[in-house]
Amino acid sequence: MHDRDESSNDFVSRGLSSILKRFTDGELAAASPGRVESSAERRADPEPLPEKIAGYPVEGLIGRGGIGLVYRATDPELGRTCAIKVLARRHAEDADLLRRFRDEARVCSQLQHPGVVPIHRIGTLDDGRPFFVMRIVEGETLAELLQAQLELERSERGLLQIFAKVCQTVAFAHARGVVHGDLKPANVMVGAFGEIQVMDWGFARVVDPDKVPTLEPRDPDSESARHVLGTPAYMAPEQARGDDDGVVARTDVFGLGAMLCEILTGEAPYVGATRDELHLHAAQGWTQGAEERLRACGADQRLIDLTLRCLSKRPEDRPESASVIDGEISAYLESVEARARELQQEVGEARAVALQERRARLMTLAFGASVVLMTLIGAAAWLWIRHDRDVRRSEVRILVDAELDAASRLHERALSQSPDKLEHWQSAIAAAERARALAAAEDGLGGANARARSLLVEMRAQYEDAQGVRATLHWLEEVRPHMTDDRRGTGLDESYVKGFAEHGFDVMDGDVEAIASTIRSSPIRESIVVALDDWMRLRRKRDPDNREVWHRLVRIAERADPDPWRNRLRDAASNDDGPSLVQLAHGAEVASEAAPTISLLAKYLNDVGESDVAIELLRKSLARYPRDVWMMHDLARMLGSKDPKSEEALGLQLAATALRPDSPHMLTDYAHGLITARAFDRAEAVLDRAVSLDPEYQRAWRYLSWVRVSRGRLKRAARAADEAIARGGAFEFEALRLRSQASIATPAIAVAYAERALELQPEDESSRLALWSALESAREWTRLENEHRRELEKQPDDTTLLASLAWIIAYQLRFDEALDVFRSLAEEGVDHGAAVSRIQRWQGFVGSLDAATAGEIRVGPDEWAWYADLRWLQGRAREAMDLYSKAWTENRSGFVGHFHYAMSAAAAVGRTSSDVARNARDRAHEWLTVELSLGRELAKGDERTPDSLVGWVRMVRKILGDYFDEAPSFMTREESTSWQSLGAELVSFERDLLRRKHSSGR
Amino acid sequence: MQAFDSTSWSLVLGAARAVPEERDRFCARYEPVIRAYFSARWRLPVQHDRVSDGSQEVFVRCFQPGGALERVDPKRPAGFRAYLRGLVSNVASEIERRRRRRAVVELGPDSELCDVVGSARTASAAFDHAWAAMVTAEAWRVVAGRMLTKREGSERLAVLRMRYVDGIKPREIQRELGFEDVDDVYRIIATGRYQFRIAMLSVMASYYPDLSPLELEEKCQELTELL
Repeated sequence: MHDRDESSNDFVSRGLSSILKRFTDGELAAASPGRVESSAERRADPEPLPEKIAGYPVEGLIGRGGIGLVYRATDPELGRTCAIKVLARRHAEDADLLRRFRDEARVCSQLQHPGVVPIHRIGTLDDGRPFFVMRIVEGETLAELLQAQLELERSERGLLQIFAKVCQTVAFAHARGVVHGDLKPANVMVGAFGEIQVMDWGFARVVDPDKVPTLEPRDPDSESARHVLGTPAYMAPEQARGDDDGVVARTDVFGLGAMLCEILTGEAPYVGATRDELHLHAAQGWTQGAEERLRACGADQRLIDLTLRCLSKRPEDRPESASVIDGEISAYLESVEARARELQQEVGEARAVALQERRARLMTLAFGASVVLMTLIGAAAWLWIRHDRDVRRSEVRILVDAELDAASRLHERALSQSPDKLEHWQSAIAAAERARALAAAEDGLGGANARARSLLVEMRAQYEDAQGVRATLHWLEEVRPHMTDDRRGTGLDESYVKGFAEHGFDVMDGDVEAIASTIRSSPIRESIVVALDDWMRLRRKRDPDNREVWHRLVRIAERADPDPWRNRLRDAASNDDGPSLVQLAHGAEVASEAAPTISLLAKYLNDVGESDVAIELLRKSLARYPRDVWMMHDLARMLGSKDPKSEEALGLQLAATALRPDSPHMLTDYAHGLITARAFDRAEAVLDRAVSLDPEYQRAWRYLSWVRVSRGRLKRAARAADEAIARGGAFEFEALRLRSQASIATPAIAVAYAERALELQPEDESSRLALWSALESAREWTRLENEHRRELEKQPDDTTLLASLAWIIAYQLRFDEALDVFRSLAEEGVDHGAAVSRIQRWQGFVGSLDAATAGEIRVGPDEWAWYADLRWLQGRAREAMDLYSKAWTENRSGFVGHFHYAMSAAAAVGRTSSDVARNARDRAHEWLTVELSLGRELAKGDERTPDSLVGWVRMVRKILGDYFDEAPSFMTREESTSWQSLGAELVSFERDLLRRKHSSGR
Repeated sequence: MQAFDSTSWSLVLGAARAVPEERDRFCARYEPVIRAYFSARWRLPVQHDRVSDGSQEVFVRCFQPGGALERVDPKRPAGFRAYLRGLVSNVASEIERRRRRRAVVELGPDSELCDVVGSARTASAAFDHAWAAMVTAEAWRVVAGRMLTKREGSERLAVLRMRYVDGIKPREIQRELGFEDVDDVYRIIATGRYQFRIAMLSVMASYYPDLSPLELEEKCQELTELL
């Protein structure tokens, strides 16, 4: 209950924080529903023992119920002992409770049945409190009997016989339209002579008023009427929810099922730490725990099925009334009796044969024996008859002992094996349960029953521990990839602190020595220490200035794992002592260390710049641990960071995937290698598998989006990015950025996603570029200009940024201003002659633009493209397209330098299904086909051009984006196929260029 | 026994059955949420007359014979929150339509509409926020019943406030409030958390009677994210 987990992300912290912030202390107190009487106060309410009640001398207090007190008294006229129930003084003013109290007396007096205590007298005391006198029942409650079941050696059969009588009593009440409303073992009295009485009818209600018309009507407005009355641990869902109309005979059926559950399993259906928690479970009908216990209790299947039916959440799924349960329990008991009789008969017959043979021998002996000897034989015969009665019990005992032996053996095996091998524990518990079930069915085997129970209690506790260990190991396995993914360490401490705390290690708050001691005594000490060491390293690497946590972790690890070699490693790592780390790597002792420790040393070496030593260490160690996927993983990462194209790294990632084909983390690592090698199709297939294995794995969704953007599959890329965004986490900004890139065909959306990415990670350069790219597509020049100017304030010497600003100014037709910027760049020695020349040409044509397009002046064949550019810059895309078409027709060579603008205009016009749009797309297709073949020619002839050509391909793919995607909404199927094929050619051209670039670079 | 005065569906259904007291409590419970919606949608103060009129209209729709509450179905997967939000949104749209018609009739077709209408999305967010606040307050009532009525109630409240409002660590709280043992602070926090958790789950359970424990936890997570 006293959990120390106060993660700020959980709803409890958020809820508390919100409510406490919202109100002042006074308002908070006012929100309290009033002074609530505590159980302590109730206990401290000592109602003095009266000498007499209504003339009955009082002998003592028998018990204290929910609303009344029960006294033992003497009837002055008849001299017999009786019980008097009086409403508690503190409830004397509560009209509803007064009514309930009187109802109880009326119900009891009208339900004349041996199972209901007879009422002798009803009256009112001088102080106005009602009372009733009833027969006293000497005995114990069923609850006490269940508690003392072992000591009393009472078999389940005996308890079921009691239960059957309870069902008969409740069935009698149901037949008269009365529902008890609070059935539980504590309300069943078992008398000294076996008589059974159902007590406490104070919560009874009439569901068929024609049958018992005498109960007072309820006031729905009364305070207590609105409260839910009853005992939550045995309560039906409809009753727990306060649904008065829903309380029917089947509500009692639930209560009877709850009692049966306790008889069979030893516990009520709902188990909770507090009344509120029990009430919550009852209101929701959460009986899953009871179902599990019932299925494992070893009782007869018919009893289990009956109990489960009674405990159904929906009343209509339960037996109709108590008489149905009575019928089934009685039938069961009869069948058990019949089987017992059959067994007795079989055993009896076998014994009779043996007895006859023995008697024959005895008779022979008797002829020569003395009278004394005859007497002895008579005694032996008497003993034999007694023995015959015990034979069956002995046989059962042998079976019980066998099961107990098996349980003990299995228990020892479970203890000697790895603690997370749950199946050993399950077998041991099953054997003990069988022993207990056998012993419980036979009177007189209380000792064996007790042994079985005590073994069960011990093993269940150990089984729970083993489940905890397994959960911890599972967490450690899970947390490792997530931590290695968390490059920036945003969720690092939170995940580790929460995870360790959840598994019983309060590493951040507790005493260091105490935590270390807990870890030392854990059966999975090594795994925990490895996790601590990993955490230490990551913490130090990602937040080197915060040494507090790091030092604390070191202290815990050193105490929990006082191995001298590993402590030397921790020391060297603490001091960034490269030479010592290298010494450890070259020493002989490293060979005897476990794989995770070697990996840790290698990672530390890599951190201090000794990557070659680290790589060699891992290569050598892999020969010893050839199946250690984490070692492969670490080596692949180190090789990959030295050379992204490393084939050895890709091979290791593939091997790790083969060893862990179901590990989304390993698959995603492999996919990353494939993406780097530009094997997009294979990478996409691998990532598809990774996300199908773990749909919550955000990194895989991000990579999937990345690879699809790279393949031009923008719609699918957007879907993958959406999945990644939905999963949030530290890298949500990357997912948002990818979503922006995938939405480039709808620039406003692209802008919105890029903005959200930057909100989450304001310093992320890639997100900033994505935003600029989206703003450019959206032609939001003013904002783009402001963004550039802001950035230039931070980096005034960035000439590329300044040139970019000049272009943005030019695109807004402020040519003089743009030329000034380029001139200032030239003074700095950065020449942008081509740009200056282009802007000057635009400046020269802008004055005659309207006259040219109106046909008022003569236009030369290579001039149309310049006018087209200007129309496009003015945002008049359709007119620009007409002019580009004219330029293409009149002088194709003059069109070359205008390709970028022409494609942008075509993209803007072409994204609808109109004829104009279709025409623009056809034009663009033609231009691109020709340009692509020219590009291929150019690439063949000039070894130095790939960089600019790669830029050209990327520019085209960015501008036309969704044209190459699968079936854009504005295209026919044939048209889309044609564009996809052109897109594939572009990708293939880009891949060729990159291959050439890398091969020439080596 | 139970500190909730009524489970939520029984309150809704009680109001639908025209039980006067249930109706009063229904109005008291949901009026702040409804007002929050109108206030955000029309960008008016919560106590503005038009917001009050809107709330009244919602309640009229709820309680009229054959009205909204009679059609409500506790088995709706989205729960009562979505149902009420839909109802309030419909009422808001109708009021806006009426006002526009009146504006056109009274001021002519070119006149500016007198409504300054915020987005329905903002209003829905305000509704959800108010709903989340209502549910947490409801859960708090249960905790308050347990905690504040005890002798050390104010001390417990101080501990929770320092922890959850000021973000102070338990050890510092121990020093500041003079507890002998930090475990006492942890115990108060843990008890408060435990009671609040159970209370939140219970309140949520009264809206979603068919959810499993895990699903209820998720609902509570979602709800508090709206705060």
